[in-house]
Amino acid sequence: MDYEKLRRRLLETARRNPPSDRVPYAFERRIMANLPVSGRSDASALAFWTRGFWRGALSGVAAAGIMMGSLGVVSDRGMEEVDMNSGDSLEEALLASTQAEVEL
Amino acid sequence: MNPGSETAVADARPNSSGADVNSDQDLVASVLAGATERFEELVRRHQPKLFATARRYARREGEVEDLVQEIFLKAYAKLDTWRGDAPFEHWLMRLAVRTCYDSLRAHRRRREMAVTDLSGEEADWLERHAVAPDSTQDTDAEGARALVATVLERLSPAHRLVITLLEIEGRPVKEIAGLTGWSIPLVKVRAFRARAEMRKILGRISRERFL
Repeated sequence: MDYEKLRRRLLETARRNPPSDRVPYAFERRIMANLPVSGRSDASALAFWTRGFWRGALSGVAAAGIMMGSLGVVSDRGMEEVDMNSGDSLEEALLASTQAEVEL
Repeated sequence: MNPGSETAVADARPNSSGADVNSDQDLVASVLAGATERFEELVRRHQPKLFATARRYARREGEVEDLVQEIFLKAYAKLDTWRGDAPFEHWLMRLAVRTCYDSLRAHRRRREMAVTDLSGEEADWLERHAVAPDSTQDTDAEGARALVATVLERLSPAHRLVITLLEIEGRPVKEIAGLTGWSIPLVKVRAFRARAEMRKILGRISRERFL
């Protein structure tokens, strides 16, 4: 079978039988009833505030990430210092009693 | 266009019969200025064409109505993006074609074609065509119409869209590129592949039917 010929005949059928443009009764009222209740301007305002909210939230998350990162670096250094200091003070505490015995 | 101007809202020109006739541009300006009820006139004016378009991509009447509703609601939401440099109808049609395409992709049903999928009328028409392929009499037959719909349903969404716009509606490639947002070479490539896919589907149906 010649499929190209069959294809052309079927498309000719489609061209000769365009779909109906009949509209259901009062369809425009259905559309109007489904429009956003708050209207276009309120919808735009909502979109504006939603967009602002998301931008603010994302900026906040980014700022928090940066702060946590920098705090992590600072606290690592701080911990090293604390560790070194605490080692010294422990040594002093242990030796203090022996020094006191020697003095006695 | 200045949608927010008060003059646009009040601009209603009487025609020869005395009734108020507004251009699409006036109506759009009114809606954007807050007169939402004027959108009803736009709907009434353009709904027949949108129904005819939607019926090319959906078979069930409920689906068609939902599709047209979706197009109008999108149009309402995006009304401020129409710049007025092209007719409102063209802008709306672009929105309609893209919405129909999205719907085709969302409801994509790529079922394997089987002989049992053909109705009695479709199978009869196909058999008559096999016997007398040069006959030009029965292209209006119900079987032929149903077979076209069945074959188009089996095409991929992009191929169905391009076949409908190019070969059934007879639109030029440049216009299709504008409606779909595809480049001109892409439209041509998809048209070529769509024809091949259609032949392949018809071949599969015929082999299963007659072998």
